[in-house]
Amino acid sequence: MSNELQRLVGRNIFVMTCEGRVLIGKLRGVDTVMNLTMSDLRERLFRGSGLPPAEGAGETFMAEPAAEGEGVEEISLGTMVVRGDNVAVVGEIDEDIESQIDWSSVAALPLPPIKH
Amino acid sequence: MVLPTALIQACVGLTVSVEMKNGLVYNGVLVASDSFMNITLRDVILTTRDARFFKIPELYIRGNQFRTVRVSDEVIASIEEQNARRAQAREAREASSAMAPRDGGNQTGRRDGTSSTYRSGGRGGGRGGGRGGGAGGRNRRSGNSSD
Repeated sequence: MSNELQRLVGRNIFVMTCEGRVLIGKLRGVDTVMNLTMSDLRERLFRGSGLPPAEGAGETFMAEPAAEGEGVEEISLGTMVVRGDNVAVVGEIDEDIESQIDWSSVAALPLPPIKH
Repeated sequence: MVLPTALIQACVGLTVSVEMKNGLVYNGVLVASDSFMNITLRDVILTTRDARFFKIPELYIRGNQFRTVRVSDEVIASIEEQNARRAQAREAREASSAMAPRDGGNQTGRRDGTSSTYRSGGRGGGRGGGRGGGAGGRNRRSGNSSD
């Protein structure tokens, strides 16, 4: 199973964490419990452009309340270790599709955290 | 590839930012870490979710309580440099200790261009191994192991 992730080392990946955070960055290393080393990391904040947030959503640290018309914001995070028990989804980013998306025109609600 | 625990280990003496599962953020200098990612920090500033700040001289955190650990960007570059240097040193050592050149000539004289240094079974193992396994270890020059 870890071969799937090792195949992605060096590529740009998308990580969804258990608190509903979306992280995009370059995968630098993996281990057996899915801890991830990532660099050039950005967090994509979905503000919903004025829609009321879902309950418990948007648990990003110190996130400001959404202003009118603010769709998607990207915060630069640099280099990080993401702990494996906090990782929900890891996906490879298709660069062609990614370059065609104009994120400033996207409006989406933030993901709620995983509830056990 | 930079292992996550290796990255944290390499940050000893540097400032890291640790976000916990309960949303608290600790910013401090890394003193030590272990394979479970437990860490000790010193000169720590704790930031709570409602933006209160506390100063803590020394702190030990259990590794399973983290969500993320933020480090400065130069650390990865220095680790990869170290790995590259170690790999080079290893290759140099192996090359000098090998008794015969590895890919330097077609030692077994096979026409398909494959070559192995000593045994006809080759180091890949899979080739000669299935057929009469006992022959794999001996230095045969006949064509019995060609694919």
